[in-house]
Amino acid sequence: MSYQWEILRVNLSSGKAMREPLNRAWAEKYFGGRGLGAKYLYEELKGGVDPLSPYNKIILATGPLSGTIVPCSGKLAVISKSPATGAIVDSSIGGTFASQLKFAGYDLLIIEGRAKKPVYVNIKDDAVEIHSAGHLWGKGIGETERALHEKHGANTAVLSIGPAGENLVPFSCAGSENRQAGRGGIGSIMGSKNLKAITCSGSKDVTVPDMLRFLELIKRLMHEDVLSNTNQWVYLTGTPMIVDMSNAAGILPTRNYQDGMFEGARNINAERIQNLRPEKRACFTCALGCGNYLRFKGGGVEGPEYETLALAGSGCGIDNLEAIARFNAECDELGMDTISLGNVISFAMEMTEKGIKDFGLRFGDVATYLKMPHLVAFKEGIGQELSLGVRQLSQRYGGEEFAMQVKGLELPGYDPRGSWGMGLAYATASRGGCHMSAWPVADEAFGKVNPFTIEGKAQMVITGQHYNAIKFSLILCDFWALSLDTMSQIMSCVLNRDVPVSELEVAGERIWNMLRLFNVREGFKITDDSLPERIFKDALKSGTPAGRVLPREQFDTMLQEYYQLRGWDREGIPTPEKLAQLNV
Amino acid sequence: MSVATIRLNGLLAIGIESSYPVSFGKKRIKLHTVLSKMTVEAPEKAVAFFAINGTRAVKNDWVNDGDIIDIFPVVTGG
Repeated sequence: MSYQWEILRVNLSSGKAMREPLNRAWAEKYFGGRGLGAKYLYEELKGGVDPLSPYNKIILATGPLSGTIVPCSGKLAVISKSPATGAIVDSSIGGTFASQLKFAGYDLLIIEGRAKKPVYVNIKDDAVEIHSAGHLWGKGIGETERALHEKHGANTAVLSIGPAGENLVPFSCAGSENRQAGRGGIGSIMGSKNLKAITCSGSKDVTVPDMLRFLELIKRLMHEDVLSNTNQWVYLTGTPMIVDMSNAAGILPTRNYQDGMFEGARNINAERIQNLRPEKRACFTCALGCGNYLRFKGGGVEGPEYETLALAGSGCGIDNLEAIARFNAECDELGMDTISLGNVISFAMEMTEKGIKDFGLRFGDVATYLKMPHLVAFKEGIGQELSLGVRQLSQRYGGEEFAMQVKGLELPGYDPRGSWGMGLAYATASRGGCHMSAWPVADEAFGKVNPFTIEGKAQMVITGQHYNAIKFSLILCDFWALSLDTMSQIMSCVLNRDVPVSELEVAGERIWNMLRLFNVREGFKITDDSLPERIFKDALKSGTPAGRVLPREQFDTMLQEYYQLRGWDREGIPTPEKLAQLNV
Repeated sequence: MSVATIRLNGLLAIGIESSYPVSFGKKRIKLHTVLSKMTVEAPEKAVAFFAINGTRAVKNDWVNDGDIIDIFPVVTGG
């Protein structure tokens, strides 16, 4: 079986590491990644724990496919309680860390407690050591990675934080190999534990029951599915393709969501990025290679991805591609989520221009914009205030109606006024304003479904949430658009038993309910399943959605339909009957 | 003679010119008529939507002389 059936638990307070068996019953029901990590966190954390206290835990979860040659299975899920939202957060990261953790013999790594001084954890198969990281504290993610590669070898995977995580910025991230576990403040949780980095290398086998059957399946899937035209956009352009699409659909966040079309979109689109002849990069076992690596004078960056181009580009009124790439590179090195920081800056720009609070930031002002990553990561000057995030900033100074966040997590790059189902997806996502729980925008603003109706949207969002819940629990990358039937074929082969589509569908729903239970225990209510006032009140100005809001009464109706279809009560609480039915 | 430019975006342009003109005799014609004049075929399944001059359009919209028509591919994640 492709599981290693072992967990590694590292307690930073005691300095002890323990191996323990993976809970087989949970693995059967939640598989791995997002689902299994959520189950462990729910069972091990008491409600109300301060996310930055030693009592919070960080779970690094692989899946049953990690470490195998299943295409696009190289991702790692990082699960914890978010300091940005107080909700559960799961953030996935590509690269080689997940496979190395599996090769070292572990399905999950659970970090708990708090070290007295900065440390890093080094895992090499059965040997687990905690080393001082005093010499690394203050260094950027790339710099840390290079130093640890030098010490432990270039094949050692390194997951680390930068100064933003050390300084407990609530939207700081962890990074590895130019990729990030970006959302929800994973970096600050590591920082609060004085955990600078985790290094991992392994030499154990990851086995499958019937290798010949497995190889035949992978060969067929590569030819018929992974490398089909459906997925080729990922390699050819990657996510920057979406800039022109969002702009044409009128949903590209522009100047803090004041508009949905940006006059400078053509300067930051896929064509401009391709003209710079980016190098392509891929994660372990990935055949698609989504990463565009751009070089500029004095540096380089893997990206910018669509979300960065939208929130830190058009959102801030910036159409200078090199400036966005530099901003992106600095955020990656300092360890910050570009979606959240882009939102924070654009919010501060609007506050300044509206005369509510002068942050000295104006839309399109490249010079000041480029100073922000450093100031925020080190909490210097106005960076001290901006590091609060959009929600807290608006609570302190006003502008709550255009603070573009849900549950404290800043919104990604699809304006819900032009894609009403996307509004429901944001409002109900367990980690807050999130585009990785469901992506109905593909069928609405970019597809053939009417984006300006609530009809059918509750079911569309639920189906998407279940699909992604199971996909990110196996774990497979978002960019392989595989069917549940294909997932069923892979899992049946890898687990050597029949894993029908119906089992995956139920597991997806079970995982979603588990995420919900965590948040209910933390006190989240129906009022948290909402959207910024701007979405309900300020009409978009351009393109197809010009003149549109998402009417609040329609949103409320859609939300109630969503609860009802889920078998939850009118307050959005899973009913005992539903939980029993799902065997949660 | 009026001329519109068709741009094929992303994977729709693999191995072919990504941009080419389509001419028509009238001042304006419907988008579906322009599309029927295309010299290359974009598979229906691979097309997400169309835009005229950067704004999403439907096949019944008018195309004028000098317009730019974008054809966007299906994308499956952001």
